[in-house]
Amino acid sequence: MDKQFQDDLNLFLRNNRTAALKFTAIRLRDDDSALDVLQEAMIGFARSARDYEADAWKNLLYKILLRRITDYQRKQGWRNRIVRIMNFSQLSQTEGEEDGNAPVEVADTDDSGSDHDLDELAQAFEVALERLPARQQEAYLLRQWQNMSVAETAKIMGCSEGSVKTHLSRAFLALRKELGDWIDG
Amino acid sequence: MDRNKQTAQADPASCLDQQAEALAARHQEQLVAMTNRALAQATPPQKRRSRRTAGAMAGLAFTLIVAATVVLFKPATEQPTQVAKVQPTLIPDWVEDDTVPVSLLENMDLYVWIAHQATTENQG
Repeated sequence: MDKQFQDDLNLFLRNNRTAALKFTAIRLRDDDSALDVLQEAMIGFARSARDYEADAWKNLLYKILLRRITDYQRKQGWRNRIVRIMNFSQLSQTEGEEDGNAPVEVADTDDSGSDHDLDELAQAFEVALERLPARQQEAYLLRQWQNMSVAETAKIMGCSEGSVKTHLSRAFLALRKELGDWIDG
Repeated sequence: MDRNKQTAQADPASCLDQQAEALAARHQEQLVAMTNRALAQATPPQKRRSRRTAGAMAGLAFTLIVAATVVLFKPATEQPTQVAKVQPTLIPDWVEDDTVPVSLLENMDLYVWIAHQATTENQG
């Protein structure tokens, strides 16, 4: 029985870690931080998963992940505040490089006409997503990419279904301003 | 492959899937190691209750520390985004209504209509 649980858990993590990493990287705008936060979330999930049915594991993983992301950003806010207070100018410069303001890493592209346009569009989409406020990012990614219902999204985000709809609407409006009709999928 | 087919394939969800695969490929070894570490932490059935209690106590302690910290110091506010600010009035209140189907909110024609209404009102 325990072997079966381990196998199911392993399969679930392998099938979901890719999307979870991308989700976290969009939220934090930094791959290394995303890996650290995702590791914490995966460990927290593995410790709790036995108490839930397998159907609920995806929701559980993203709920834990969102909490870890929030905790991380809160700690970062603290760290930045302490740096300002202590006025370590060189440390501040280092923090500036690490705080996720670095340009989005772009995949290599070839120069053939339509592939180049497609890559530009993909880059523009990634940048536009990262510019969204946190709650709009979460609502859009969970609903549109991870295909969760409004109810599931609301539970994961810890808000009402009405709030999810509002965040989603604002995300659509903002993305459409940046990307036009393409965002309609 | 003509441009129409490429555009049709490059929908937002597929785009995110491709980006996620590329990101995972760059960090494949780390992801495998992370998965193994998480599996090693999976709670065995007989120790569940004691881990729950220890986990609950640790969670409570952490919550108290964070709450005290937040109360003592003003939390950092999120930096304003570069996206042009969406006027809250552009999103009508009825969006939050339980009876409004989400399929309506995910139809781009709605936002075209909202933008048109806003333009008409400004001109009127």
